[in-house]
Amino acid sequence: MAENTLRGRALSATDAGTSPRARRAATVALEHVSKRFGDRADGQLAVDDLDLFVPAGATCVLVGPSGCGKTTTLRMVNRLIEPSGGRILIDGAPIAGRDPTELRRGIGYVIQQVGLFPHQTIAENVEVVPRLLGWPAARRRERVEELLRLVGLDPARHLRRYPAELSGGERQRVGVARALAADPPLLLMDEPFGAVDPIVRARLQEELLRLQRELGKTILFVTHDIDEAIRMGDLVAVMRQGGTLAQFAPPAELLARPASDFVARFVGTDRALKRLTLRRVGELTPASVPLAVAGEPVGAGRARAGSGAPGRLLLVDREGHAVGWLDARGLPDDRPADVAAAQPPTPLLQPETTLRDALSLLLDAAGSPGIVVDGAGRPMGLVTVEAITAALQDVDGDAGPDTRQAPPGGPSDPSARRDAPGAMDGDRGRPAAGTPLPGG
Amino acid sequence: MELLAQVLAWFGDPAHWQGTDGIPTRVLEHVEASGLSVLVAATLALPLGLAVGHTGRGAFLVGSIANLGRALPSFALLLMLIPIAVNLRLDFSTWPILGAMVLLAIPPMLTNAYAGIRAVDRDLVEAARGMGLSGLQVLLRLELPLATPVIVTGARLAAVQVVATYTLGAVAGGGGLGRYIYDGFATQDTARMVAGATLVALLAIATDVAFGGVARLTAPRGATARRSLAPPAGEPGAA
Ligand SMILES: Nc1ncnc2c1ncn2[C@@H]1O[C@H](COP(=O)(O)OP(=O)(O)OP(=O)(O)O)[C@@H](O)[C@H]1O
Ligand SMILES: [Mg+2]
Repeated sequence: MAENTLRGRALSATDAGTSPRARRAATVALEHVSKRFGDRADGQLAVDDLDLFVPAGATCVLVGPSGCGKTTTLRMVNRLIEPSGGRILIDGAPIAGRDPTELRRGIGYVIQQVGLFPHQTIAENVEVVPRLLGWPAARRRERVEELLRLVGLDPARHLRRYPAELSGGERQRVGVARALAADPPLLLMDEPFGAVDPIVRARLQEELLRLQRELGKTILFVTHDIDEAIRMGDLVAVMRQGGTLAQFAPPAELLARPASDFVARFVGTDRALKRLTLRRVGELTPASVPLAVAGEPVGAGRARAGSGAPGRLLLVDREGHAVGWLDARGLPDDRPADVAAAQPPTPLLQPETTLRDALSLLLDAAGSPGIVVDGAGRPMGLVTVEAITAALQDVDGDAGPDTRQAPPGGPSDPSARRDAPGAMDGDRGRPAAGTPLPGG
Repeated sequence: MELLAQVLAWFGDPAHWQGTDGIPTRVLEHVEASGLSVLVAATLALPLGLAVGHTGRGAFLVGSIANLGRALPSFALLLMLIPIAVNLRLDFSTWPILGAMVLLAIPPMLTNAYAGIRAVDRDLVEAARGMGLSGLQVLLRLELPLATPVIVTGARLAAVQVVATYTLGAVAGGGGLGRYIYDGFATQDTARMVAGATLVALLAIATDVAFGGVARLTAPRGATARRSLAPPAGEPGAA
């Protein structure tokens, strides 16, 4: 675990106010934390003896069925709720003695309903905490613009607007910007994407992951959606009714080795497929592919492929882009490899494609191996269904690599990843658009 | 029709526009006394309503005061206050009526201040607290601006009621437009009575209109923005 180098140093509002980049992340520890709401006749605990440690810079997702105490847990960390037992430490220091308002100014807070102040402009909303911390106006202004750009909003267009004039997705972004305003080392997010449609949610999730790669905050994230938990979390805490911790583990381990029937049921029967979402094509070693340059004699390709004389050659153009599959059986060595006679080069996989998407594409292609291409469309090798199932086996062996680590071959670009299969669909039966065909 | 002519003639008589019993003087007396009553009531009712709304504690108090205020007619209050004023050797033509008007103005302002604060979305308040606003900052920066329209409505109700009811002041020998009605009644001068009643009605309407303007000026911007969103934004020819 990434033990925090800044451990033991208390975060304070003045720190956050004067040196916003001094600390990037805080550790959070919950020790035997319980909460009983006084007015509950049945005496049931909302949170029961919870132990969690979140290392600096990690995203910890609290997930579980409705009413299991996720929100209560989160709100104990910024002291909107006081625990009935146990203690909570931030950067090793107990928060119980801290002044609540000062504590909260050092912790970003995002809720599902966003809670933007309707009577204030977007700029005023984002600068709430910097203003509380007494930042001068010029610095606040600069920070607001920086933050809006960071969350993908155009300052020129949005600064002066009111929350009611934004879409739900834009409001969520402003909510995130507002939470980040004073560069807090810890963010609490309570179902931050719960109120938007699945497409916007997926995009916001992707953007938060990108942001998190840049910022490296410690994040406590609440959701009741296990897919979101697996996607967003370095660590996932599965809670169950009565506020107990059912399992606390990285997503891959949670899926590979659920600690109980409850966890197994909660993560769902498609565990194996979910595990595939945690891994990407770039992590596999692709099998080598027999290449033939379009227009050159078939024999040259055969020779390059070596022994075994494969039935199919992958045609590339002179720039090295994959342009088609050529069935070379029965073709004489001196026949030029003809693009017109080739099948389209599908399915194409990027290193960033998740194994789940890759498997789906391969199943669609009726067993044809997938061509892994780099950013420029040049083939890197082949991936088969068997290779993917084998990869699933070694997830069993260890907890698996961190999902959000960018795969070799570049940072994961979600839009490129999602667009790739779409682009192929649109051009079914033809080589991918933008790939020049020699002589075509 | 004859009465209408008499009333118009009454208004047309220049003698009725000057002196201590002239229309400008009486209107001014009426406005001064009403304004003072509403101001005193506001300084009592608003802080209490805001505090109860903000903390959520003491809601029953607000309810009881409001109900009491509705149950007690101002005239009865006035009659109760006159002997008290006499006992305290206060000027009984001024203090009892002012006291009754203050008590009349408190309930609408108190209940509206309370209800306006309570109506602010609890999620907003939680978000504000979660960001580190203190209780007072939550009240002043979030709850109060958002509750302003409801609070102004309370003041508007109170002011219109007071302007209409201050007419009673004349019963105890006070000034204001009630004098025309009371004296007109005493001298059987119907035109004078009707003119007085008309002036009271006009002043009440003017008060209502003035507070309407205040409401527009003090409404939080974002709420106006929400309304302006309703027609498709930027549609040409919409104007
Ligand atoms: N202020 C409160 N007073 C009394 N009981 C409460 C209070 N807040 C929460 N509870 C109870 O504590 C339990 C946990 O609530 P909590 O809001 O933490 O659940 P949750 O996991 O966030 O659920 P959801 O997914 O529906 O948001 C519930 O049984 C709830 O009824
Ligand atoms: Mg919740």
